[in-house]
Parts: sequence; C-alpha cells; structure tokens
Amino acid sequence: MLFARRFSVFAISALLLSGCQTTVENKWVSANNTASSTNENSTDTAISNIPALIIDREEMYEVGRDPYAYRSIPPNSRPVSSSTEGGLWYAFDKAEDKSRTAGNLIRDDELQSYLDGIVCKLSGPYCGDIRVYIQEVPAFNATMAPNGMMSIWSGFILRAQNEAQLAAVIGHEIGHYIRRHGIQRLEDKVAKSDFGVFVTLVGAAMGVPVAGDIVGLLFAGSILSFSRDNEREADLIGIHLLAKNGYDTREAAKVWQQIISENDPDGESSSTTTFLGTHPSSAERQETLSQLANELQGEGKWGKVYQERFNAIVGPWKQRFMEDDIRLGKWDETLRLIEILEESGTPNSHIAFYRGEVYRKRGQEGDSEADEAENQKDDVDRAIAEFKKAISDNTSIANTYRSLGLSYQSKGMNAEAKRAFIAFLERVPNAKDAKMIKYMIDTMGAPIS
Amino acid sequence: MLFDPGIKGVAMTFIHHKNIGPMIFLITAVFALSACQTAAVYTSDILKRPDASIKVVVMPIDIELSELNAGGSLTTRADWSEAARGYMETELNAFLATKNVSSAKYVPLTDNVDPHSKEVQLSKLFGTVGTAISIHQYIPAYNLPTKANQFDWSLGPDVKVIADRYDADYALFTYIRDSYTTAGRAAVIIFAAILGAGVQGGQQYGYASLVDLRSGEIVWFNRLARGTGDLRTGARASETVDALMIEFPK
Repeated sequence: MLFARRFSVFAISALLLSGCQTTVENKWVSANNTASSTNENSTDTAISNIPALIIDREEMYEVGRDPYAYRSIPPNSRPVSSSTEGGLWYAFDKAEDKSRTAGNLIRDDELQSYLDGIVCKLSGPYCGDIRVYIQEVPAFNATMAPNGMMSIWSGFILRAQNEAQLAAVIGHEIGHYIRRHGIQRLEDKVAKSDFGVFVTLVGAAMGVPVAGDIVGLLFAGSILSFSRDNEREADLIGIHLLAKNGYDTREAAKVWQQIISENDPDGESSSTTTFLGTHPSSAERQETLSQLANELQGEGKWGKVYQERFNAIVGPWKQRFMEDDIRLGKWDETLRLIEILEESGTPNSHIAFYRGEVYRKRGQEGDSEADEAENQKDDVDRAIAEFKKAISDNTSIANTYRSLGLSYQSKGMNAEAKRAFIAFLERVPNAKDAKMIKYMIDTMGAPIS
Repeated sequence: MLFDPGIKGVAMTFIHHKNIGPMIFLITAVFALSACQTAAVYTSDILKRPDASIKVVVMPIDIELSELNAGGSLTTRADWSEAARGYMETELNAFLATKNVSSAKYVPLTDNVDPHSKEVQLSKLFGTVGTAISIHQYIPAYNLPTKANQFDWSLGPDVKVIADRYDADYALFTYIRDSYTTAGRAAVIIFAAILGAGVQGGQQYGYASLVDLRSGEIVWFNRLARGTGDLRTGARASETVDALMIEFPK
C-alpha cells in the first residue's frame, strides 16, 4: 500500500501536468489555405455585438462569468491541423463526405437555395463557412457540426410556420458555430473524464469503492450544465441575428411554445422528450426569448415573418413531411401536431386528410390500450368521415382518394372503394402504385360477407 | 460514449461521430474475444495474372490517428492522420512493387454527390462488408453458420466500373484507426496496474482487403488489432504495412 501511495504521487503529478496542456488554442489558417494568421482575434467583431452581449448576460451561465474564454471563430478560417479542434474538424469533414451522398438527403434546388439564402443573410461574413444539408428525418431538430456542416431536419421544416421561425433556429445553430461550442464540449468532456478516472483511482487506492458512481453523477451533471450554457448562448445569438436582419423576434419564443404544446400539452413534465435534461427547459427558453424580443424590438417595431414566400417555397413540402410523421405511428403526438398546423392556417382539406390518415393507420395497426375490434371499426369510420370532408373542397390532396378507397375496401364496401380508386387514378395517373390500384379495381369482387 | 464531440442541435439530438462509437465497441470486442494475433483469410494464395502486367487500384485510405486521454476519451489528430495517409500510400505502393504489381491511386470523381453513383455506393458497401468480415470472420462468438469453413464475400459485379476506369485487375481497400497513449493515460495505466487493474493503452486497429475487379469477390482480407505499431513517422510506417499486408497473394 505504501508502494501504491508513492506511485500515486507520480500518477497525480502526471495527470495534473497533462491537464496543464489543455489550454485553449486559437490558431487559424485561412479556409482556402492561401494565407494564414495565428493567434489573431481580429474578427470577434465580425458580428459585432456578440462579445458585448455575452458579457452583459453573465447570469445566463451556470458555471460563472465568461466561463470558456473561447474566442469566436474568425470568418473564412479553419483550425490548424495540429490542434485538438483541427482533429475535430478532420473527423467531421469525413462525416460530411458521407452526408453529401446520404440516402435521406433532400436534393431540391429551390428549397436548398431558399435555406442557403437565410443562412447567408443571418451569418454575414460566415456565409461561406456554413453548408446546409436538408435531411428527411421526421423529428423537430436542426444540428450544427463544429466544421460548419448544418443539418436541417424535415420534421423542423414541417413545424416551422414562417420564415422568421426558420431563421430563429438557423440563427441559433449559427451561434453554436461562431462560438465554437463543438470544441468546448469536447475539451470539457476530455477534462472531466480525465478527472473522473483520477478520482476513481485515488478512491480505489484509499479503499473507497463507490467513488466511481459519485464521479459518474458529478460528471453527468457538469456536462449537462455546460451544454445548457451553450444553448443559452446560441439562443441569445440567434435572436440578435433575427433582430439585426429585420425578422420578427417574437417568432423565436413561438418555436419553443410549439415544442411545449406538442410534447407537454398539459404542462406536466413529460418524460417522452430527451432534450429536457440537456437543454434549458423549453419554458425557460420561451420566457427568456420573449423578454429579449421585447427589448430588441417591442410594440410597433416588430420585424417581418415573410409568410408569402415561405408558403410558396416550403408549403408544397409539408404534405410529404406530414406523411413521414404519420408513418412514425405516434398517434397522439401526431394528432396534436395536426391540431397545431390547423391553428396556423393549413387548409382544412389537408388537415382532414392528415387526421383521416392517422385514424386509418391506427385502425389498421390497432391500439393496444383499448377495446381493439370496436376501436378499429370506429377508426375506419372516423377516417372515412375525415376523407369525405377533405374531398368536399377543391384544395384537397389527391392521395385522399386512395386512402378513402382503402378505407372503404377494409369495410368491404367495394363499390365505394372502386369509385374512390378511379377518382385517384384520374388525378394521379402515374402514381407509383397505379398498377396495384388498377389491379384492385379489376379484381374487387362482391362485398366480403 | 467515450467520444462525442457533436453539438446539440436546437432540440434533442447529438450528431454522433460516425465511426468511433461502433469502432470502440468493435475494438473492445476484438480484444476481449480473440488473441491479438494476425491471420489473413484468402480464397487463393496467388493472384490471377491474365497477362504479364497486373494492376491494383489503391482506394482512398480511411485513416484516423488519435490521442488516448487519461480518462479513456479519444481526440483525433488531423495532422498525424493526414501525414499517416501519405506514409501509408508510399509504403503500400512500395509493398505492391515487391509483389511485381503496378498500382494506381484511386481519385474520386470530382464533386460526385449523386447517391446513385456506383462508385459512391461501392465505397459505402466496402465499409459495411469490411466491418462485417472483421466481426464475423475474426470473433468466434460472431461466426456465421453459413460462412463456416468458407470465405466467400463479394462486392458484386458492379466493381467493373472501377476496373474500366483504371484498366485494373484488383482494388485494395484499407481502413485504419490508430490511437496513442498520452502521458496522462500512461500514468493511469501504471497506477491502475499497481492496484491490480488492467487499463488499455493506445491500439492499432484496421483491415485491408483485395477485391477482384472482374467478379467483385474479396480474394484476400486481413485485420490488424494490436497494441503496437506507429504511423506517426514515415520511418516506422513500413512495419505497420508489412503487418497489415501479411499473407498477401503472390
């Protein structure tokens, strides 16, 4: 044991020494490798109000004032390859190569240039440093990798109600990039796991076997608070970018309002969402953002939401993204989302189609919680009622007829099913499943008894 | 999760590092379940030589070198990785020359982001098949009943697009993940050893695979999983290449 103690001094020294090396590096090379500048911080003022904002709002940090002392990344720069941050970029550059050819990447010139345009406008001098990937993922999110790879998920595009809401989230992600939250998180994690193993070993040497568990808890807690600070910082930058570019700053809080009403409609903390622990609570963010909106713009000075061009470009995608969401089979969540879309001006015929689809699919798959046979029958009837409502309007979605046909067919109402299928094929003669629908029309016999 | 540098998005999900997570699991599994010996598998110990000359296309080397920190987290080193790719290329070409084989460096089609491109799909497919072989061929617990006593993996006949572009006979795919113990980790290893616990140091994990560009069959495959090897300097890279290319067909 004495031997062990003697060596523990050596081990502790070595750990502390290695800890000393993790000072923050601020070495940059020009992104196009034509020129280089090191240790210069000439462009913290590129988005000029950011440092001041952060100093003014020290109360938003859980771990103290100016806790990171990280400089913002200058525009048109990448970290030198010998740094930890350079390694992080290297890894994400490789990940980005895969994103470029990913199967769920949405390749649409109009939508792409619309979102690229918002990114460019908000990020100003960083425009060339951020690349947008639109991914078909039915969840409410957007992400920013340390190297400037931004992913916008289709589930977020579905829920955004205007351009200002898109910009609110995009501005938040730009904040993560400029403030280098990727390297902050990595270095924090390395430092804390190093500290964790150190405490565990010292604890073990002293015969304290539970040290590992305590360390684990402390570790998790400090990582989360670190992450929450990052989120607050990104929120703050995001809303300032909205104000600077003439967007209505109230829309940032509305994004959070929508997350709350979708996930936690009764105001009870729901465990179905994983982001609650690692992010400031949605309610806190909504409140802070509302307050900031009032400070930045206020009554009579609100910016724009650019509803018309948003509807023209994003509107046509919503049906596809809504159908993705319905396929998740989370009926209650989807019905709440449909309600939100209904309140925000989605055409009634579309809403009726979406509701009908949820009932139709729920009827097919059953709902384990309730009296199954009876409920399934009810669901088919509900679906048919919704589809009928939808087609009474000339704005209806063509797929409504197919779904109506399938619903009638499942009830054995073959004559009605045939009529609906024929109406569907008249509207979409080249549908992917046209052959199957034709086959069903031809072979449908007498009503199933 | 040992390594997770991703930034939180606005709502709920991390961007995970694409490779490290499963690889850590794999490395652990490989070390836990099999000895660290190297053994190649192959369908034939000679290369088919339709005429005197034979050409191998060296596919882009998928390589990452990283530092293993005291607490077990990995930080990628871009400078080491980029230099090591160069050393590997040089040494692989030299190795192939000793086998009397000419080599060509594969250059991806410029800005090819078409997900339906055969070349794009082939490089993804190789990643999947290579990982599958390194698990199912080398870890007894994961041996596949349908592959007992036979080595018959293939990328399919679409590899012909590479054969045609380079007028080549074979393609060589390589994958390397190499980590190096930091001073802090070394201290942990020593301290833990005194307490009677084993703590892992840096490891070199990787595989190489030779694909017949006429049939798509993988004719030779080797895996490295060891606690030695150094790709940080050109001088020692040949040792890793020799270990990786062991039992390469004549």
